[in-house]
Amino acid sequence: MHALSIPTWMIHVSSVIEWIAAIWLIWTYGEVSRNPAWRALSFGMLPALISAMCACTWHFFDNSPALEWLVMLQAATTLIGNMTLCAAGWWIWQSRKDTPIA
Amino acid sequence: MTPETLFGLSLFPYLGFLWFLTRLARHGTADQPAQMPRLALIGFYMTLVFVGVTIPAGIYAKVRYGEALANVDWLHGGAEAFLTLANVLVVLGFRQAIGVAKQRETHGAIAGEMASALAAPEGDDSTAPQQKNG
Repeated sequence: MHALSIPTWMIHVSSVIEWIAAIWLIWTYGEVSRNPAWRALSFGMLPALISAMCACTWHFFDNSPALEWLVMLQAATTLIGNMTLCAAGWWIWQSRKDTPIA
Repeated sequence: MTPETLFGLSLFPYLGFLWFLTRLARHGTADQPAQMPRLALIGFYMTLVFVGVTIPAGIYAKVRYGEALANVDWLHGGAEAFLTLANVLVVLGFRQAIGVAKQRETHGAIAGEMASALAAPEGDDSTAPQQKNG
C-alpha cells in the first residue's frame, strides 16, 4: 500500500466512512420524516460503495496493472450506482405527494 | 469498452439524480418544508465538482509525469479531497434534516392541535405561499 501516502489514504478512508454514514442517515431521515421512499436512496447508494471498495483495493495493491480489472469493476459499479441513484431520486419524487403533513 | 467510457456514461444518470433531488429541494410549502435538505443537495452537486477536478488532474498527471492520476500522490489526494468534502456536506445535510424533522415531530403535534381549534382546513391555499411546480 505504498502507492498512496498516509494523508491520501486518510482522504480515501474518510470518503468511504462518510458515504456509509450518509446511507445510514438517509435511512433514518426516511423514518423520522415518515417517508419510506428514502430507503430507496440508501439502497441505491450501495453500488457506489462497492465501486469505492474496488478503488481502495486497487490502491492497496499499489495500483497493480495485474489488477486493472478492479478499475473496470469500479467503473461498471459507478455506472450502475448512478442509475440506482437516479431511480431512487425518481422514486422519492414520485412519493412526495403521499407524505403525511407532520 | 474502457473504464473511461463507463465513467463518462455514468455522468448522465447522475445528472438525472441531481434533477430529481433539485426538484425535491424546491418543492416546499409553509406547511411542509422541502423534503430534500439543501446542504445535502449541495454535497451531491459538489460530487460533480470532484469529477470535474479529476479531468484536468488526470491530464496533468499524464502530461507532466507520464503516469495515471492514481500514481501521482499529491494530485490524487488533492482531487480526492473534493469527494471527501462533498460527502461531508451530504452527511451534515441529512444530520441537520433529521434534527429538524424530529423537532417538527415534537412541536408539530402542538401546532396541529392549534390549527384544528382554529378550524383551518388542511392545505388551505389562501394562506399558504404559492407552491411552485418544479
